[in-house]
This record gives sequence, structure tokens and C-alpha cells, in this order.
Amino acid sequence: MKNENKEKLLEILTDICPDVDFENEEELIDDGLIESLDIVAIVSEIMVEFDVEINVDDLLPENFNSVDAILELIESKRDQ
Amino acid sequence: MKRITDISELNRLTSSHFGKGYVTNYFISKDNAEKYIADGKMYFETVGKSLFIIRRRDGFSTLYYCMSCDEVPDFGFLDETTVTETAFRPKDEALINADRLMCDCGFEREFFRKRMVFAKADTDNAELSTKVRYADISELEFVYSLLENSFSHMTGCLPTLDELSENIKNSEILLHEEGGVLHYVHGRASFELRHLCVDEKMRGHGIAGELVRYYNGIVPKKSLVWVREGYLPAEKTYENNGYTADGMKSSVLIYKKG
Repeated sequence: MKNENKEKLLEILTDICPDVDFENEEELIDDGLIESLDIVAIVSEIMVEFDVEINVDDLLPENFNSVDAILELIESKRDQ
Repeated sequence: MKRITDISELNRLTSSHFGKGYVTNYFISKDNAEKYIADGKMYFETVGKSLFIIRRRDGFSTLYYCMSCDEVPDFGFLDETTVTETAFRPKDEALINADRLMCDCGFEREFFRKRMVFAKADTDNAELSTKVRYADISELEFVYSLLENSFSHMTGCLPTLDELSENIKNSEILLHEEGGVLHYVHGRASFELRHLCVDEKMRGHGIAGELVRYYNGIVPKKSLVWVREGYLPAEKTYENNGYTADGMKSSVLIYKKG
């Protein structure tokens, strides 16, 4: 299940930012590889694809610095 | 328009007008939002499925939106001259459409800004001008007046005196002894150069270039600057000092009232 989610997330991310190596980058925000406009687009897709509610106060850099961080955010929202 | 009284109310509002089918230019940090709310400056209006957040300024307002993509906005609720800004890349079609729609609904385009980037090479070791230094808190009024004389209150993103005082304390203001100021902020991913200006009487002597080169010298990795498109003195200063446009643009619109 976790792998399936990761694959689905990677598909979304690559679709939005095709030039970023999401599998290996762990400092997506800190290295300036994605920015606020990308985050809004990513969150919009995640909310639909994973059926979770993400709030504006979740839009913190640390929640989007890596694929694992984004997956953790999704999981935490599913637990709520 | 209703006044927003606490940050949780603002979070509820934005979160319920966010996601697929919405476009937004709401990128205020939590700290700033809390400050504006405490000062009684933040208001909201909902029109159809869209949310508009209004920040009262000194004689004008700034508008942020979480706008439904399938609605034509009605700005009849705006009661004073209002400025708004939308940043986008060529691929951000929904934001470009929102910007166009706002022009069809009463806003007028003032200008575009383009974002320019400086990426520091490991080999960049330029000699720093001895005429440039960090501003001292006793120079707050001087720095503020120089910025105020050079940038528009409405569209120049001027810091308040309190914000400027913080900038000086954080070593984010450079002064050129012949009359120039460079204001920047330390960002998480990069530095951002916010304002660069030279005393009117001293323009044309290379002061801006010296300030930028000094600043480039202290930038750890990368710097961003938003430059008014078509303002050649600024564009040239940055181009000559290693900055290149990265494709991000922003549109500054004004809704004129009265």
C-alpha cells in the first residue's frame, strides 16, 4: 500500500514538475527545486487523488521537502 | 466586508476555498497574517464560491484571492483603491486566466515584474567595495526616506518602519556611503533582494552596481529579485551583475476607486 501511494505521488509530482528528480532529492524546498506555486498545484492534486483534506496551515516547507515528507503528511491526514 | 479577528478564522476561510478548481495569490506567512489581524487590518468577503482577503493599508488596500476558476468575480465590495499581484510562470494557465479576468472586471494593469536569479559560483570571489556597509539602527529614518522617495507606496512593497527596523537588526540593509540602499531578506532557500535605490542626485555613478556586487559577495548560494519589466536602469544593473530572468513573472493590478 505504501509503495502504491508512493508511486501515485511520484506520478503527480513528476507531472507538475517534470524536471525534478523526486526519487532522490530530499531538500526540494530548501534547494529551491519546487516553490509555492508548485506546492499549491501539488496539494490540489493530492486532495483529489488521495481524498484527504489539506489546510492552508499545512503548507509548511518541512511538509514538502521530500517525497517521504509529503507521504507522511498524507498519512497523517488519513489518520484524522 | 467582515473583519477577521483571529488566525484560526483565517485558516478556516482559506482552507475551505483552496484546492482543485481554485486559484490563489494568498502567500502571506503565518507571522505576518497574525500581525495584520492583531492590527485590525484584515477583512474578507465571499462572493459565490470565491474568497477575497483584504488587507487595509494606509489609504488603499491589498487584495488576496482564493478564486473559483469557473466564476466571473464581482469586485463591487471594494470600497477603496486596491492593489493585487499575481505571480505565474508560462505554464500556470489558470493564474494567467485569473489575472486576465480581473482586468475584465475592473482592475487595470499597472505593470509586470519579472524575476531574476543570481546563482553564485564557487569561484565568485569579487573584491568588496569599502564604501558599502551594514546600516545601523540610528540610520532607520534615513533608509526609510530613501526608499520612500524611490518606490511607490501602493505598488513598491515598501516595508513599514517596524519591518525595516527588524531588517536592520537582522543585517539585511546595506548602505553605500555616497547615498544608496540595498534591502534584502534571508530566505529559507535563497536570499531575496527586495529594494535597491540610489539618491536622486547621485544616480549614474555606479553606486547601484557597487551595492549589488557587495551583496552578491555575501549571498551564500542564490539570490532572487523581482524587477519592474521595462525599467531599463534596474534591468541592466542586474544583468551586468550576473542575474538572468527565470521565466517567473508577476502582474500588478490596481482597482481605482474615487
